[in-house]
Amino acid sequence: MSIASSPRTQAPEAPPTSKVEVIRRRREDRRVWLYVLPVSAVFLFVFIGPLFYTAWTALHETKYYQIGEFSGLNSFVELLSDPNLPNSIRTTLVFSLGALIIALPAGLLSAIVLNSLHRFKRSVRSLFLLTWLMSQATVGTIWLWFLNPNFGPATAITTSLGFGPTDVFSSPTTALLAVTLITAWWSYPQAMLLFLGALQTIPEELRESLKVDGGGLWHDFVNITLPFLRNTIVSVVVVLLMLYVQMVTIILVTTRGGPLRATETLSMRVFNQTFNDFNLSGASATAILLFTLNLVLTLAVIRFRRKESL
Amino acid sequence: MIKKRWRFAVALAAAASLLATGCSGSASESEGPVTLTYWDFLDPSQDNPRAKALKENLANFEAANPDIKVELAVVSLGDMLNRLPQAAAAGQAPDVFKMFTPQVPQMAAAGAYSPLPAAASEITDWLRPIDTLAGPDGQVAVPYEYRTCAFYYNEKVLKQLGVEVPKTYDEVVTVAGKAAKAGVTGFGTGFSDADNSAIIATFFDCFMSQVDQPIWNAEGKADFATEKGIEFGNFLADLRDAGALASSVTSDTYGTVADGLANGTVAMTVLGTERIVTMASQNPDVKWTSLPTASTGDDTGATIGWTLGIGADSEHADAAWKFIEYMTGPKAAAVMATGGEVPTRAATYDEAFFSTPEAKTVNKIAEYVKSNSEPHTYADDWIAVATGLSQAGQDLYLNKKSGSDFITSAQDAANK
Amino acid sequence: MTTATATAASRRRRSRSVLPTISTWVYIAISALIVLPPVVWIVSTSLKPEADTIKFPPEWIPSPISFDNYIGLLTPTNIRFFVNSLIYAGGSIVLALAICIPAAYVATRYRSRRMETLMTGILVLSMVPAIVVFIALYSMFVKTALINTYPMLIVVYTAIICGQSILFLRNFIENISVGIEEAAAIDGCTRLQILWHIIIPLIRPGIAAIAIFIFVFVWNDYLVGTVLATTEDMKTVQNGIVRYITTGFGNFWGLFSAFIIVAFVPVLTIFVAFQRWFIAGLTSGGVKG
Repeated sequence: MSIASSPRTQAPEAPPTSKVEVIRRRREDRRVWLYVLPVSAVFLFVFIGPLFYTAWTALHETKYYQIGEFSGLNSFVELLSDPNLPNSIRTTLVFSLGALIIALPAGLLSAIVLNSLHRFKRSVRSLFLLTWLMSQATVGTIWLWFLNPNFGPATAITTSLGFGPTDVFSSPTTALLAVTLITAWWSYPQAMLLFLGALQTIPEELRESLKVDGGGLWHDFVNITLPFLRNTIVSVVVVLLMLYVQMVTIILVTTRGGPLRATETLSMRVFNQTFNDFNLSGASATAILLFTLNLVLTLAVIRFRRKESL
Repeated sequence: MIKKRWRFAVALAAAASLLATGCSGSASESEGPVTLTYWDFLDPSQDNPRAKALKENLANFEAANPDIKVELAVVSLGDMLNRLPQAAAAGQAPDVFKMFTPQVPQMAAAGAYSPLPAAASEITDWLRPIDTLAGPDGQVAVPYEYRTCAFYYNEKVLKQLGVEVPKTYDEVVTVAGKAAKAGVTGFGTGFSDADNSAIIATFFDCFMSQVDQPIWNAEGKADFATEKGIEFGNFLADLRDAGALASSVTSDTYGTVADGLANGTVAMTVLGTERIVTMASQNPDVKWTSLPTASTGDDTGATIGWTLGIGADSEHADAAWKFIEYMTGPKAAAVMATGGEVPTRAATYDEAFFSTPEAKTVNKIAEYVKSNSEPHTYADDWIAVATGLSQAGQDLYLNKKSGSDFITSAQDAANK
Repeated sequence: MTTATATAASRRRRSRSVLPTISTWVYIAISALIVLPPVVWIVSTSLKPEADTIKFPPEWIPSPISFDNYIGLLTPTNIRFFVNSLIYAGGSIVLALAICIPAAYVATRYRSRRMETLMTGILVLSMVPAIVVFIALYSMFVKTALINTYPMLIVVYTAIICGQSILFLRNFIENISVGIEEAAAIDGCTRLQILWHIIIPLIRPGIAAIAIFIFVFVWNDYLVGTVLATTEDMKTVQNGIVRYITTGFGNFWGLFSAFIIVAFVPVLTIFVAFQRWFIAGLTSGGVKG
């Protein structure tokens, strides 16, 4: 009695013909949950447990990872009245938006260029993807070495041009700039991959406008293709922003949040508070703030998507 | 077929991980012989004299004590400072661990130590007094190697400038300014907190000893923002104003300054004596002498160095003490000295090695430690003091703060 | 007249097709200029003898070329880092496939409100910032014997990538016609047998892509190893890289560069060999950590 069904319809429920079948079907349905049990257990252990634990520690005093007495919203009050908090938030914004402004167009352009190639596609794709294949620790450290003020090639270039040695990580503004650029350098291929996927579903007429063909077609690109890519752009923005907001490794490996907290984003602050200041309660409060930020981002996307499909 | 290859690889990985779950990082007890867990930051598989000396000593100890095995866990100092308090709280502290002198009281207050057994008091020939290595319950650690601060200078650079070796910190500022104009870093220091603020904290420690300024008051609160303490801040501020600090000073560490000294880009600095031996082989132009003096005219710094102690609730306290006694004893210390470290007991210097010409430098340093340094007590918040110093230093350099601002903000940060 | 316009048109077309190629290749050249220098510098440093690595002004081409660094990095500690990373990666792949495939299957075929809620829950939880999770796990377990063990890290890695994996696999499973499963059910196969004998073989490309993605993710991860592995003998390859920078004794830049290259080789090899599956896995959306 199998009906030819499209892939997305469910298995049709045949009416139970006997009590035995009813029982078996019910037992089978319940067994379905066994299939998600391991995943749920793992998620409980890794995400739900720690989330509650974080909330718990944020509401208590802590000394050296020992939980002390209940202190209510003290840690949150301390967090919100901490003079360093506006700095952390501003740094997070500058860092995330700065990297986004670079990585997004770079990803889009790279995807377009890659898409338009007929020969050497594989090699160029490898070139574009190279930085994303490297780990964050690799990226941070190779730039540390490249920008080394005493022995790096960057210093050689700047001194030969008459400027001093490259001390990017010693001064607050250049440190933040460097960390932002390095992160954009590493992450733009992620944007490119998402755009590549979208570009391959564009109908033929719009493809023409992507062949970077001279003045007239730039208009078509902006007015026809870009709107088509709007959903993808939103996805890319969210993916990248979540990546940047949670970024710890690249900053940790290069500046550790310094100098003078110039590169201390919210995530970095959580890390530093836990492992440098041993302030678990404060770190938990900041962590909750960070989680809320992530949640807001995600909900905004879900709202946007729902609006689009209306 | 990819699938077959994958299946095999997956099965292999699964088997490996199953096997490996039995081999995780914690020590295993074997019945019969005793196994000591020992935390050290040195990695015996690295190719440098100190690591090699450690490896040799461990092997010799195990050979001399067939019923004691030593299981070395390589733990970085940062990880150690993080983990010891909770390991102790969980009853999982290592049997023996190395700790740096100023952080011993902090770890003791966090409950990481067992008090040393009575046998420990039978050793009386330590070169310097050891009663400062104590916690709330008494003596917890003994010194494993000694170091103090020395003043390093590049003789060639000073000759080219036509100046004498400075004898006071004011003279250092003048010479550093001249050196900076000649294109090198006048005075090497660093305000990075990446290595627990090692260079600025050590320099501060010695300077405060020189000017007789206790770092903490009777209640254990940091209290050094006095006239004498401000001298330290003013020294740094004067260096900055003379352009004598490296432009990378906010991210320079102990290691980068030592490197700069070795390759001739740093004219003068204050570092620990443990660098003397390697520095001599890296750059023969670099010489060392006693510290320049401040207003008190005193050049006695602080005796610091690595210590060994027994972990809290250790079940093998006697075996642990045997191990510590061996490692600080004459035979092991003589091996250690070949790696450039300064032994801590007088008996060691009777060993054959110390009458050989190779031992000349180590003997000289030992004499210097004896004559030019005193140990002192530390409160239980040295890490906060060190971090406060590096943060204040960054502030001093980037925001042109004054010397008194520097010392006050460092003190406040320590007391938070 | 038509010929004149035809020639003019073809000439315009020809010039049009030259221009985009030029601007395309200019873009590629600029990208190469931005992407390659640090990489080339590292390769160059790794091939220099120790003393040459700190020469100033720096030389781009090492002379003489020396492989000492590659030999020097083969210490037991470093080899242990590689073994650890392999174990973490392999274990995570096994565990993730074992628990995510059944979950994805059931989530696709047996949609009910409760199932959808569970899936949304899993998705939302995957949005918890990684650093928050690690720090909580560290404080929770630092006093126990669970910290610093292989299973602990493998479970953490698995949880992190499971959300995406399930979504990704769902897409594959949806494309399988239900008819096949129904036929098998009528023939008397249990759900488990259907899953094992029918579904899994049919989504092999998806599994391959996920496996590759997991391997790269675990191999490249730095944070989990730093926080949850507390002794050096449990740390990962990435920890090993940063170890040179933070605790490198003396002149370590040559060894460090060689280590980076050797650590990068596995990922690079997998990429070159399995480019299509690799990209399929990566395109599955937001990567963490």
